[in-house]
Amino acid sequence: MFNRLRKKIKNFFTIKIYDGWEDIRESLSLLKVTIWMGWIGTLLPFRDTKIGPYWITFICAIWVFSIGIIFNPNKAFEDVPFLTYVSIGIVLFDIIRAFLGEGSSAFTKEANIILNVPNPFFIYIIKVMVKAIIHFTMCLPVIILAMIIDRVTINLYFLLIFPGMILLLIFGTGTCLFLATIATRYRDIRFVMQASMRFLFFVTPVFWIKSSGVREIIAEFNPIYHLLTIIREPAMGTMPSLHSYIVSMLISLFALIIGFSIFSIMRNRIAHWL
Amino acid sequence: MKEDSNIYLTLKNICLNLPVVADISKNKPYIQNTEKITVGNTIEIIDNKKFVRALKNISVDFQFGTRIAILGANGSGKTSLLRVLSGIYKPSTGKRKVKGKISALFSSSIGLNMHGTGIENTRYACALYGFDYKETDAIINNVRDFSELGDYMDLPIRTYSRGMKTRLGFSIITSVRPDILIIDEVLSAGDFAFSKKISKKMHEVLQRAKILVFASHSAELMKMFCEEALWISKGEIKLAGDFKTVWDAYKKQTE
Repeated sequence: MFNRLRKKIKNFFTIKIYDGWEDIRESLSLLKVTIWMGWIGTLLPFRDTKIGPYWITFICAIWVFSIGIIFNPNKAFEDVPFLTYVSIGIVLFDIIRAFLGEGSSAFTKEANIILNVPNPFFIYIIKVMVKAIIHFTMCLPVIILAMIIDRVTINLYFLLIFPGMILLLIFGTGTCLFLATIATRYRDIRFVMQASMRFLFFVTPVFWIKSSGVREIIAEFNPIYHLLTIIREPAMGTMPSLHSYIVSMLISLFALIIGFSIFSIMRNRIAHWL
Repeated sequence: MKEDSNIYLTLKNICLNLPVVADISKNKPYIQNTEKITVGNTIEIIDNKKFVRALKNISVDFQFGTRIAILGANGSGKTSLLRVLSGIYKPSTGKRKVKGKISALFSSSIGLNMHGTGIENTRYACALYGFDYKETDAIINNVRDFSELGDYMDLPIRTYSRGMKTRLGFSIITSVRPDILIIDEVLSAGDFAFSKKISKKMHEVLQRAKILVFASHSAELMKMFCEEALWISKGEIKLAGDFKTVWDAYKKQTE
């Protein structure tokens, strides 16, 4: 028993990690076409519509403004520009939702291609990431509009959103790798993710503000809150707490290591399960 | 030329066990029934998990110039073998060694998106088959000429008839220029005029490949291109040798 485990661990560090890395390296050499694939994959569903991909912006705007107006806690938090707060929160949460939701069907959805064309697996993860980034970019006008309405002033802290975005993308890569691989074997994962998405939306301070009491505890123990904070706060001109940075870094690193390990271990069997 | 002769594709003691994940008949005793099954491979239980033993201990060695046909009944493991050869399935045990660029043509409609135009779909397929941008542009022009779709290339393929989609698909997949070509049953469609044209182009493609692995039910095509044949049955190599011997034996058995 112990010997077998030791053998497996040795196998992991000598062969599997190398295999996984090789897959990722190969995928990165196809980066250009992969990005194009993600791009065309986002645009094509809107091909026959009049408004086209601007529907993404439009849907986002409706969602942001309805929540921003209905849930506005007018007097209590006058120092927080609520519309901006909500718009950034929703757009970022949508990215995370894409990582968790589309990430868990990244391989199963492409089964037809995976079984017919020998390509590395990581390109399908890149495709999910590219789609999420395009969605994010399409929603940026909504955030800008909200900031203009709220008269938010930008200061030097604004630059901090870039390391924040990088951390978010690292977190996304890790979770996508993990979920895509696991969900190919255990098909329930996709539905678990769908079910938990609403729950996650409510326990994350997207449209409510972290204050004292229960809400503080919920927010504090929610890793997504910290990932949101390190981008949302600098965009609104305040410095996020060091504590949030540390949690975000740890959670991203953890996601990346777990995702990469699981992917490396199971990569050879992904096609067998499709 | 010296580089060319360096191309090879070998499998050594390959086994492929495909897991049966969705098991709706837990109580049915599969194992007792395997002798009654005439198509398909044996189902076995390893470590309490159910597996289809798709390939059992297969070793092949394809060197430069090999043109081999794969024969076998339905479910005998032809496609599994081709997928292992092309690197889509990783073998459960055994080693695969390869040198040279591989193209695997398993279907002529891969990645076709109904909303995309002919050009976009061509680009998409080219991206999947690993062409870079320069090559893709050249291929698009070739496809436009060869498929005779003309202005239809700028319309969404939703507007195409089935035959036109087939034309597009074939024009795309016959643009590949690999060292090692692996083909599984894609050579039969299109109207009469086009199928004549496609067979001519297919000849070119097949001739160009330095190693050809070819599975088909059409005896004529295989006779035309393959000097060797490999007969697999229930995931094992039953007979390998020059095409005529194997084909005769295979035919005799099926009759």
